[in-house]
Amino acid sequence: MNDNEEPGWVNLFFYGAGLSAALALIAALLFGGSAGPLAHGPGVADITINLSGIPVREHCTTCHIQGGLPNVEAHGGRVEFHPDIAPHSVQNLGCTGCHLGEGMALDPEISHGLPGLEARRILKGKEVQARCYACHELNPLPGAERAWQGYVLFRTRACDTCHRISGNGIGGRFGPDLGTIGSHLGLEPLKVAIRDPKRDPPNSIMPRFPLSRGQARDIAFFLKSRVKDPLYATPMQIMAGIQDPPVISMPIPEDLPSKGHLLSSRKCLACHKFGLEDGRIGTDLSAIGAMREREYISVFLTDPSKKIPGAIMPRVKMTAGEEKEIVNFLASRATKPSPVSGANASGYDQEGKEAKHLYMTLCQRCHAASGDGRGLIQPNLANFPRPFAGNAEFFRVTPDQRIVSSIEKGIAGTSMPPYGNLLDKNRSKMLIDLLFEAFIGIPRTEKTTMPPLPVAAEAPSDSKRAETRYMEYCSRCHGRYGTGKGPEYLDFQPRPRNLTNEPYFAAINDERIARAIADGIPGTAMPAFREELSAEDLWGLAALVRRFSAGEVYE
Amino acid sequence: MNLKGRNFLDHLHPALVRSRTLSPMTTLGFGIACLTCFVILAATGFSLFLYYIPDTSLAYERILHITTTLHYGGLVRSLHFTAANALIILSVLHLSRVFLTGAYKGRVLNWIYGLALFFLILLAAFTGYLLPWDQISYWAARVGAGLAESFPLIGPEAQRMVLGGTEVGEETLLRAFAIHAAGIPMLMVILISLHLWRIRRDGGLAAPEKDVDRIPAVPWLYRAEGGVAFLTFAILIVVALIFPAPLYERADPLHPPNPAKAPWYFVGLQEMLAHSVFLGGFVVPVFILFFLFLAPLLDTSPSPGGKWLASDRAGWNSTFLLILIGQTVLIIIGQWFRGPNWSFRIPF
Repeated sequence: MNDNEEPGWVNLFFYGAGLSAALALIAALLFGGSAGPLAHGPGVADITINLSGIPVREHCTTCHIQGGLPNVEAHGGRVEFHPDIAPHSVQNLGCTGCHLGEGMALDPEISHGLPGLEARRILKGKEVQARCYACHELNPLPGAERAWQGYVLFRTRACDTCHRISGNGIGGRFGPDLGTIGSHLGLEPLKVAIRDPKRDPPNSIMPRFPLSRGQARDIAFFLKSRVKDPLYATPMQIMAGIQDPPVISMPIPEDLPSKGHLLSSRKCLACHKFGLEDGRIGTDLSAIGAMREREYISVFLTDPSKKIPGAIMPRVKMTAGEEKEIVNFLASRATKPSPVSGANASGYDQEGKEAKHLYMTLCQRCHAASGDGRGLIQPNLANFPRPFAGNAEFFRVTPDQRIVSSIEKGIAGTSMPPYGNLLDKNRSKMLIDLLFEAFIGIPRTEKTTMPPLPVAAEAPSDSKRAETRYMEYCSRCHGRYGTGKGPEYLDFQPRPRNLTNEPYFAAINDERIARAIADGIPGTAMPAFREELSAEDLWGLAALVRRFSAGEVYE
Repeated sequence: MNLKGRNFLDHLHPALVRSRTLSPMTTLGFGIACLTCFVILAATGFSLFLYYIPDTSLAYERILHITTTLHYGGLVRSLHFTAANALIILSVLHLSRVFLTGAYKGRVLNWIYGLALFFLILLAAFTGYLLPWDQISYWAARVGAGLAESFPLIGPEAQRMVLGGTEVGEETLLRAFAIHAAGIPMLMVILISLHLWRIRRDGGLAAPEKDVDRIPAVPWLYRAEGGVAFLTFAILIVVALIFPAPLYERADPLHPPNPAKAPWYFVGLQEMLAHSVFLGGFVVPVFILFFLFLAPLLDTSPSPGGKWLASDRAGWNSTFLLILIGQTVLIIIGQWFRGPNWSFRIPF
């Protein structure tokens, strides 16, 4: 070994690296001291406030000196301190108690609660009232008028029929508990969730209530005060659910007969239409007593999904007496098919005009004035109303007798009521003629003769085989268990049929089921499987649908 | 050679080493860079240990406290974060170097030590990820734990053990902290000692030629290693100064971000799982594991270890590169090309 081979570059590398490390260390000492990338002067204002026994630590006044705007120079030297908030005081409440934000953070993003769902996003100006009811009990408060209005809307617009807001006391169990929603969502996400419920998640069943932007904001103000750690009640009171928010009496519409006041006080009218009152969410109840049996209405009130599987109407809490009263009232209003007599009175003497009037009174709410099935309340119905316009193919393959029966007897398991009692033969014929003339666009007599169905096998088909076929061809849309909610069901409008709809399938025969599988259903995404399936498979699947609708679930 | 001034640390290297040991192309310095990261992690980790509280209601505020109130608190946390991510990347590079030069030949035990260290690093990174208890870390932990579940037989049990239950919660945080701050550092110190000691036992770095020039380890090898360490340190500090460690809003167990992603080093696995639970969650990971563990035993190619991309090891090397590139691509896709509901989207 000799000195000539000494790798001199190693020295160079060593000292160079050492120098860069030293420089980096100096840079770290110089620039790394102030927290994070944002320099904020020599010190951090670190204060701790006792908020009803909870210590809250804050750095807010590092920038917002005395609660004023930060960076006085940038605002033209205008010194602006926090306004007087008597009877409160800034010294006792601190900043985050009312304004939210992350008191311990010092960067502009996190300290102002901007990321994610904005649960702690800064409330400023009028928004601060969103916090009042996190401490105060629910009662009208000066300065919190909008938040109070939000509470009133929450009760009168029937939000509490589905959503709970506090413990066990108030509200239904049909929707998510909103008792702590203010700790999870910011004002803006709350407003979006109220005004556009189906944006996220897209399979939400919450209907889109007719609320103005301001009303949605008021409700958001109120909901923002429903928090995990409220100060208006002790944890024990919250657990026991014994705080009692004040009752808001429902306004009784003037034109509602006195016997029907339950429709208002039980909040039916928050969704349904009766007379001139219209919630714009549910069906028209004005003549429902003329169409549905008492027994039907009574069962429906107890459990809507028994009669219309998939209906989004919640079970409304009421006593047996109240339920009876509502049924009696609705039935008592059944005598007069008012729309028709009204039509005559208003001088609709010509047949065509009367038919149009009938359509607009009875059909339009679901089937739409344009006849495309996308009526006012269509998004809230469990089944898509049959489109007429642009759907000629469907009516070519549908026997006339079935169309008549749909109108006169209704369609079981759906919101389509039997209009037989309301319309005489002549009027229902007028209505059907109108449908063909105005929307469908083909003569009523024009029918396509379908090829006959393959003959059912003598031997009972193998059910395992049918299940395999079902998984292969049907489950992606209709779901593994036939609920109509397969992985792709949201891609289709009309949505795939719910095969577990017992009343619907009880009313149709095997041949119609097999026909739908073999030849598809025009106007919907249901394709024809005639080519893919053997006779045995076809009738096996039809039998499987029967089993689904009978409530049988296979594993 | 004067042996009088030698101290305990000098046992790390023999008095004389092959001169190729110092050549940058031999190791690229990845091993020392890893070691430097570990030392930095231990030092910054200890500082954080003094202030952190593993309690779901306090953890987030303590992190805010560390990064805002404390002098150099933000830098220490950023440095810890940077060094942790660098350690993952550097250990993969180190592993790749050893594999592609075939340096594991005749050194099966040290290769196994190295792999064990690598999995400890991943576990340390994963448990450390959860500690800030912010929205991203919370949901990354839930996704990461979910990935384990798809592994047959031992998956659910392993998941339950790490979570301390069936959900990410108070117990999980405490466990993650204990594993991260006590268990893994101790195991890693032991394994690193063994790892370094085995190099010397196995006769220094793997080298293809016999009887070549030797030079004294003091000072040359130590200076070369010191240089790598200093350089690593300098780069980490600069990166930590420029890119502070991220922190998101408080964890909200009821509202997942969409998409919820695992920590970036597990996103490749998440991406594979998104395609096939059986293939991506079991077959491929098990194949990679077996491949890595068994390669030094099954690789019987005649070329000596220490030669880059030896032609008789083309099959082994290309398989390894395939795995490496495949995982890298999957991580890139999962990290940047996946939007809500894991749908594909172009990020720019």
